[in-house]
Amino acid sequence: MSGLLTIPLLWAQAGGATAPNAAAAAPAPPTLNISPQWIPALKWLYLSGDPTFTTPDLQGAVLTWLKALSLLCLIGWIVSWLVIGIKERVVGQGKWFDYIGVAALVLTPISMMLRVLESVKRIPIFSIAGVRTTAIVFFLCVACYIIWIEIALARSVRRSGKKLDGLVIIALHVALVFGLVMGIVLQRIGFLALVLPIPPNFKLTWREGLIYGVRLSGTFMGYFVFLRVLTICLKEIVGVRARRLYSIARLSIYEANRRMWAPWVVLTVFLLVLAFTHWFLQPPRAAEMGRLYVGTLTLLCSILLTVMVTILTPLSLPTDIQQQTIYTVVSKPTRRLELIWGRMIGYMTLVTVLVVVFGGISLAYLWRTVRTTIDNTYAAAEKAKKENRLTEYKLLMEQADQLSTRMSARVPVKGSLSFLDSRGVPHAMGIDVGQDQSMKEPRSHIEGATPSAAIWSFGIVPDPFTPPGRPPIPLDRRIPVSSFLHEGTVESALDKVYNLQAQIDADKATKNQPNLPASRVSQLDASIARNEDELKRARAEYDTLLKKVDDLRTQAAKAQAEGNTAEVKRLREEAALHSSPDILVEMSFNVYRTTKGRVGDPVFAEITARNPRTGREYLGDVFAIKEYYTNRVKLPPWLLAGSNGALRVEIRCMSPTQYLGMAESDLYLLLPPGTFGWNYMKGLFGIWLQAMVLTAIGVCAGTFLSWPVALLTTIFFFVAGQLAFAFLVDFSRQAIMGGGPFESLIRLLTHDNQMSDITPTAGVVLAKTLDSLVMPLMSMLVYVVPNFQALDLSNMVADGYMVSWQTLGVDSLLALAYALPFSLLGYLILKNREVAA
Amino acid sequence: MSHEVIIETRNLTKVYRDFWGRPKVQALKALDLQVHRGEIFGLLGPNGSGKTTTIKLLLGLVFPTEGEALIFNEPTTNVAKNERIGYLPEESYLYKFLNAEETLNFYGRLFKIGASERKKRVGQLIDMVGLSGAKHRQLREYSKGMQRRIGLAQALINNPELILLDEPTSGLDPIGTAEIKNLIRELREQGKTIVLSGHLLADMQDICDRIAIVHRGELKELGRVSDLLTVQDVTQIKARNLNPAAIDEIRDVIRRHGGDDVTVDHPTTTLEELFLRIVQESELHPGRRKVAQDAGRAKELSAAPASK
Repeated sequence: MSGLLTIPLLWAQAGGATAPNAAAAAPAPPTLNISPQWIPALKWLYLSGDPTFTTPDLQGAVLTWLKALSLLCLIGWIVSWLVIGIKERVVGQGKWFDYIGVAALVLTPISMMLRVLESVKRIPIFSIAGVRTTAIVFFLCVACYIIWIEIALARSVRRSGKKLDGLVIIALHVALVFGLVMGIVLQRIGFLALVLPIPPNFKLTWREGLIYGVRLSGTFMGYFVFLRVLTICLKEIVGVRARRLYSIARLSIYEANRRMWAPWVVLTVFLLVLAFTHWFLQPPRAAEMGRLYVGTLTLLCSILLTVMVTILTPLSLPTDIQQQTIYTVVSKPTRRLELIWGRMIGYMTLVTVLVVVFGGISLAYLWRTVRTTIDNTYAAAEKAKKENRLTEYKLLMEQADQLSTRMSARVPVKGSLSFLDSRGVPHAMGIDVGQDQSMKEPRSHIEGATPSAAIWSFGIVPDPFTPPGRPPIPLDRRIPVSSFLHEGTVESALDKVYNLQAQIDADKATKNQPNLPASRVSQLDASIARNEDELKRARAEYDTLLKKVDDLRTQAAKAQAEGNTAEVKRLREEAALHSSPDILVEMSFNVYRTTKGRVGDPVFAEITARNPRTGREYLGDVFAIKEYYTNRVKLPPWLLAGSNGALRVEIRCMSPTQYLGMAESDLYLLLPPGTFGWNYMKGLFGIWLQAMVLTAIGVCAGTFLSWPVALLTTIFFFVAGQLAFAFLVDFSRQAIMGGGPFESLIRLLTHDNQMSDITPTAGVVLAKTLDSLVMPLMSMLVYVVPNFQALDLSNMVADGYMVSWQTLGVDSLLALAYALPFSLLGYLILKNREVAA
Repeated sequence: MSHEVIIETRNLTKVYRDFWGRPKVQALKALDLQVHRGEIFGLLGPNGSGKTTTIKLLLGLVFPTEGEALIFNEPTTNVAKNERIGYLPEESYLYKFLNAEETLNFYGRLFKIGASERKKRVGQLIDMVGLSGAKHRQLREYSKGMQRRIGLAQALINNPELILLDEPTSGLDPIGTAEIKNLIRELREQGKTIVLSGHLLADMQDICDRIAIVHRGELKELGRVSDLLTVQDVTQIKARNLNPAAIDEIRDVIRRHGGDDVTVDHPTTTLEELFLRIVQESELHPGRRKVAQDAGRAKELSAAPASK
């Protein structure tokens, strides 16, 4: 903000101080020149100030959201005042500061081009007093911008007479100074060295202090603007009335129904497509039928609903403005925010009705097709068994099982995956064979017939990806033991015995600690005595149950020997009532073959499981890996007794020279499944959330754009968020090879690959210059474009996994995090535009 | 009629700009006027003179370039004041896919009116504007006159204190026009303040207490209709049953010859004549406008319109 303060900052950046290299991160011994009691406060300050620093919890996520919003508010506030200043002719009238602004505009591409020429070695590097000339030009350019912006803001705000915005300008300067001072202070006391991943022997100087100070300043300035925006919005929100929202929502529904016939068109298309779906959907394998059908139906719902809102929402307000019907609405006591939210509620009501209708029809369709196929396959398997065609029987049963699995709502309990290499050394990752790598979930392999193993750890476990030398980040991967060990069973009683014993041991250990107050000792004594009594009772209960089950099993064996099948069944069922069911483990590994081996021979794996608290171990059988299918193994329930949610499952590949590939989600324990229909509706809720974000974008775009442009804008956001979000993330991290869009275009035309250096011709230099101008702006898109992929739950449903309430909650918050700012942005635009101009 | 000021504009100016912020047209130039509670105030002017812009500025549909406008002593950006205002735009900007009942219910819900009260008012207003037989038809099937009527009904749904009518009789047949004029008079009887704009001079002359004549965004004349139409420099003598031979002897002779009901008065022109003269003068001398001086304003206030 202040040109005076920015000069030393730019100077600091120009000195060529290498930015800390995160890739080569290694622990630097933190030496704090401050009392440790200040550390939590400083961490808070830094966490709330640095836009790129966060913590992996809800607090970190909310703060990151606030920081991003604040920065967007800051940019939006400055840009809007500059636009007002230009339109109101308080700047841009040929005064001395306007010439400075023009100079900045001219210097920007020159500065970029000089940098590009230096980087491609077309010009030598010149320095003045140790500072590169290109950097000096860059400083000049930025300084010119700052002077012009400062003057333009001051003049525009003064002319408008808005005192609060005048206060914001003062606050911004205070925040700027505070941020810079804090940056320097944090560097001087050694706090930056504590939190930054800096390479060994790298000494942070005042320049890094200034650079990080600017980052803090930017966020703090954003907070002030955010507060200003919040005061405007809160005043409006307080005035919002349900009756007006209802009225406008109802109008939107009438409009969609009577003017555009949108829901009827969408419903008709849905039914038409559904009528012919089975003609075109041919699963590659019979077991894939459910997945294919569920995936197709959710995709169809998604396409129809998103297309409907993409077309409807950007049309509503622009049409209202164009046809001037908005005059009679805004001349009533209708708030602009009510116009936005009322429209959104109306369209989302339509979407809700359609989701319910589509869901109902889809479920009936799936029941009629897939469920019938499952029943027929089971029937065919039984017939094959009766006719002694055992191979066919097995195949059909396998198919039916796989189909049933996909048409259920499995609830997986996932652990944390780590590896042992072929020498038994632990690693976060296994062997990379160059297959199936994705940023979402890395996949790696273990070598057959070696000590190499994949280990899934359950419980409170350290994150295997914690950088070495740092305190381990704990992950909560506890197994919900009570869901597996049913009350009143032997295993549940045993679990209670173990837990009571553990509690007694812990109390005794605490009691043995020196200098314990007498009151605490008496508390512990009482607890130990109480738990010992409880333990006796639990042990007795366990012994009784165990004896009962043993007796029943003995009787069943006797009955079986006598050939009394009915009695055997009854006794076994009775015994089962007193035992928890086996723990089902599902695995879906891939095999990477270095030798063909014998054709048709499977690759074998071995599973072992160990309760780390009790030390009890289960040595499982060796099993053949079912490629493209799911392996199921049952673990005895007693393994979880006394585990407190902790378990260690190890997988080894038994086939020499072959590699077994896995990702973290490839092995999990299965809880009792939920209802498929309900799960399907949860999957459709993901589409509902996507529609909500799109509605907010469409309505927001409609507040200031004509309907064709608003429509294109909404489509752009959807395509960018649904199809290109991963690309945008890579783009913002500058992980895209081959340069920016202009350089890539040259590579495309000249058939140069992405890796090779291209000759720095004038065209290439120009392209790189344009890229350096465009790329920072494009990188910002990642903060604006909603991540629609993250809201898509259809794959989870199609794979037969339960969509948890936690997932729905997180997705709802994510959708709100996008929809709310877009709707408020729409309100601010509508508030400041002349609807009748 | 009260002297309470309901609408006040001070130096109200509006310049429409193009995309680049360059001035395109100056729609209103430093308009100063006041409207008092209970009067019918007419904004008179040819097409493009700034009448509708004035109303839009009063409603906050556009923002002033300079100056300010106050309604009920509150700035026009205050949305809450709209609870007491009714507005009929110059065209019937209504949702064509709604029927009359739905339209009035839609607008009624925007106000703080209970459901039963709203239902009652909807019925009354539909009856009042004579659309009972067509209340279930969508507005797209309505004639222009019917649309004007339902437009007027929506402007009255909240029983407003101030009613802004932009060319209320446009598109109506003579009977409809007469009905609307009667309705406006009735509303005035109920103590409502009415601002109406238009260029149908006879209508304005009939119903307005005061008028402001604007041309090219400038206020050219402002005052009571009766005052404005009086020709001050001419004396007119009127008599009934007067013998033509006695015309030369004005007052005494008329009496001597048995004439009665002698009136000595200033003649009045028609609003049409006044309007045309002002517009012609404005064309000849652009930029010369009526400026409400303090003294003049005080005089104007003291001469607040009496009911006709």
